[in-house]
Amino acid sequence: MIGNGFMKKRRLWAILAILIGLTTIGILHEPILVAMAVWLDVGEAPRPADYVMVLPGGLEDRPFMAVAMMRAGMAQGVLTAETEIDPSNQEGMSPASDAILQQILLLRGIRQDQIHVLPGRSNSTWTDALALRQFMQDHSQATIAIVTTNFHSRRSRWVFRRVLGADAQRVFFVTVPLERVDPKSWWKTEIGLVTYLSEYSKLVIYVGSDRTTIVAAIVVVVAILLLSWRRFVTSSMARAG
Amino acid sequence: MMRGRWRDFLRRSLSVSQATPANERDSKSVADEGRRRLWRYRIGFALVLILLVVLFGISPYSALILVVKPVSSRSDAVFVSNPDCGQCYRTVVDRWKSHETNRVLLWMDEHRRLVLLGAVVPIEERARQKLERDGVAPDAIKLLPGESRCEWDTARILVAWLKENRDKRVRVFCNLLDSRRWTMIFDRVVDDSSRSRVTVEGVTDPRYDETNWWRDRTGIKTYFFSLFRLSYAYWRGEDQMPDVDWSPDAFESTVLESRR
Repeated sequence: MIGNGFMKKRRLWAILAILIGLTTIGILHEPILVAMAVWLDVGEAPRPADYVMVLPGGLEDRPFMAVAMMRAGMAQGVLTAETEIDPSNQEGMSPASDAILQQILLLRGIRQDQIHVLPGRSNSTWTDALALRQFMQDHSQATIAIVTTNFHSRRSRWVFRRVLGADAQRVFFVTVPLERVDPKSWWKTEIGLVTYLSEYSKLVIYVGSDRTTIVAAIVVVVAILLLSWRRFVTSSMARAG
Repeated sequence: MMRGRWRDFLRRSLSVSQATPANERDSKSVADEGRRRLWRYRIGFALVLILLVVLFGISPYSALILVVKPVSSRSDAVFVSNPDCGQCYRTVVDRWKSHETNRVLLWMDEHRRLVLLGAVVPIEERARQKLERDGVAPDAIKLLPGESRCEWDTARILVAWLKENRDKRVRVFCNLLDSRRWTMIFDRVVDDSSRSRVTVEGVTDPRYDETNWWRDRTGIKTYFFSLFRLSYAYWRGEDQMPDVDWSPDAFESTVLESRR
């Protein structure tokens, strides 16, 4: 009878804990979701650097930050990665991303000799970082402000640190907000929801495919299996004898 | 030696799990163990269920829910709903050349920053140039009135044309993995009497399709985008797009200040 009562009590506690958990999430979902957006933004205040690099994509926002920094005398040149030609470019439906970026910079008053296109036919943040690595090896003292959109900056920083190694100390990130998406209410619009969920998916894929993460995950899984096995053997022995 | 130890261990384990004599254990502990086992089964079942859902989510077959296969029917006109779908325009040219259609409908996208700045040509103009370059007769191309700020607007522009052309049927081309979402948008925007005159056809990207999307970077990206957008369109429907006043000078000065 005592055991039965104990089990009932434990079940009640479990149900209560679940209810409290769900209520907390219900009440705090807004701060949690805002925190998720804030966490992705690792941008720093703009400050002088030798070059400002505009990451491909986000053409409606990112180039204008680079122009603003150039005009404020914070950098002497703009870097961008050469981008891969996709089927839409091949069909003649749209120019390549790096070509549009150069066009924007020229239209906003940046001189052609201030624009440096890093070779490499980039198609991802990883290949953008590889393109910059080569440039940084050739310019061993140069500091670089990397401009990207707020939601993209954490993954970018993670990638650049891995690719650049010690040279990553010479780069910092400056972020621009995404048009029509407020980080305080991103889940309320389609573009916000798609952008942030996709970014988290990419982050999981990037971090999950990293060698260090894979090794750490294997170690954790093996440790859990060993502990479970030990517990199983111990309890079986105890029951048997 | 080892084998003997294992056999001994297994025998002892089995003797516990198979026989639980009442004279060795009191009824209280047996009942407790039964309950614990029941909870273990429940938790196990829930975990297996979650695992199955996750596996389906990342399995190749999950892309099938994003795709709708078109019914074969005659179409008087064709319409490309994804403006950036280069392959869609190629398909339009093929259909026009094979006389499967005699009218190509274009629509005007909202002129956003890059168009206003003059950095890119409006998409409808690029589409017209592409079609004419590939051999579609200029008088077969018609730009529909109205400006679209979102996909629902695009569907409404087509609805207006359908109202003016009550005997015409139209085939809408879009990215393959977006075909379910476009079908849903047309289901909601087009009234029942006209719906049968609209056929959505997904066009396969040369790099991937619904059976091998995970092998291509763009395929993976498109898959997740399409999945999230379909879910949003299903649960929330259409967004209200806010007006954005924009001038490059004002933007450049505020964007710098806002990050300081």
